[in-house]
Amino acid sequence: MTHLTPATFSELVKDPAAHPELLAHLAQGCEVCDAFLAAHVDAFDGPVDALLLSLAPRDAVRDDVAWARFRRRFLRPAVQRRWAMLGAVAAALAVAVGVGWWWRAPVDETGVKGAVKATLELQAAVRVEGGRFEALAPAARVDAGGVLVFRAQSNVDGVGRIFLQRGDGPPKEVGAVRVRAGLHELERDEGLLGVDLSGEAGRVTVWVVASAAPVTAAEALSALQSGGTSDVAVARIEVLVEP
Amino acid sequence: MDDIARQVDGARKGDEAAYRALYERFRPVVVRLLEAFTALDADDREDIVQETFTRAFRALPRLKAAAAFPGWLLAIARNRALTASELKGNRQRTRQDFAAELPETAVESLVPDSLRAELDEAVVRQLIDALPEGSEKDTVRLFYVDGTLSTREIGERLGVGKSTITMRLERFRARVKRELVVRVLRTRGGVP
Repeated sequence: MTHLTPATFSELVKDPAAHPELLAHLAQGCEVCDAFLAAHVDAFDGPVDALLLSLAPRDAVRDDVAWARFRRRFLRPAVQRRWAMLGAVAAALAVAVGVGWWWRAPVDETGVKGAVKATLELQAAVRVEGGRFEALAPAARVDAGGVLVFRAQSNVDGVGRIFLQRGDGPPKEVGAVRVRAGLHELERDEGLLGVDLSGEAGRVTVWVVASAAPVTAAEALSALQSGGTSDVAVARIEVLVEP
Repeated sequence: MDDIARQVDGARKGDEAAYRALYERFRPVVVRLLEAFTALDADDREDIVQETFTRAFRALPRLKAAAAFPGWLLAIARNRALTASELKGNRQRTRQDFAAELPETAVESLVPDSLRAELDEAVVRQLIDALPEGSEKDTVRLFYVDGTLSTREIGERLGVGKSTITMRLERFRARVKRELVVRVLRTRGGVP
């Protein structure tokens, strides 16, 4: 029995009527030919998926956070692609973290011994022109070309939702990071979290809302506005960006 | 011109509202597609969603027929998901190697801009109905027709692992794909 191969499939496509036996064989169902089509004829994949997924229609979902996140990435890429994991600089950052020269000593603990309240502290450093890192004082002035990286001290093992606030504007969620108990750099799968300040101007505040159990965006925002809860820790870094 | 075509047309002209309408309309569909890729975690899937829409929107000028947008978008998503799964599983990517042996133009010329004429939902439902009663039919119904449970939840309900669910879904998907190819070839060749 002839099965689909690159050669037989090409012949079949060129002139289906000239290969009635192969077409009939295909129509009857054959695992070998199905495997060939599944693995090597990609042009039908999209239409097949669209058809299958249309069996259970899904309504459009308005999601301001998801759209804002995507919009930053797609619609204004030159100015707004700041929350990318900066792979090119990740290695350099990792070296810097390993050396630890730019981190100040951990600040004093804020968690109350024996208490279960979630705690989180943030430190930030900025990567400046030339690849150097400078630790940031509170409300530090930084150049718009800088990239912020963060170190956290927490008693939470979970997720940190990241919010960005410009001036007195509303905080907008822009991503998420892993948060671990202890002292650690904030990172995602791709590497360290880096916030590119290019295009920013004025007061910029980065908020991290950490919790062991997932919380919704609304709950995270509520915790941010109230300064945290027993289960949700909130910390922020504020900088003044100079163009 | 239907809604999709209108939104695609608007997006091609740089209308942000049209981009957003497409994004919010098809994001749930892309997310559902990616749920069938069990090697991917939630972060992977979110990254692929973002990358899929970014690639699709940037390539919109190359889309021939606006009505083909859903399938075209899902093809991008599937391709990205396969690549991510293969990288994650450290598996060899043999698809590209083999595909290189196929004359691409011949295959692409086979695919009309819209395949609705060759295969519609009713035919797919007939294919599902024709499956023997049993776990495979239950899997397909739960994932594609009911459409609410994740592969993990379906696995828990049927007492099997996620990978088994994925395998069953892929097997059915292969049948649908074969049916579509056969119908297109028959139409093209004038074969009854």
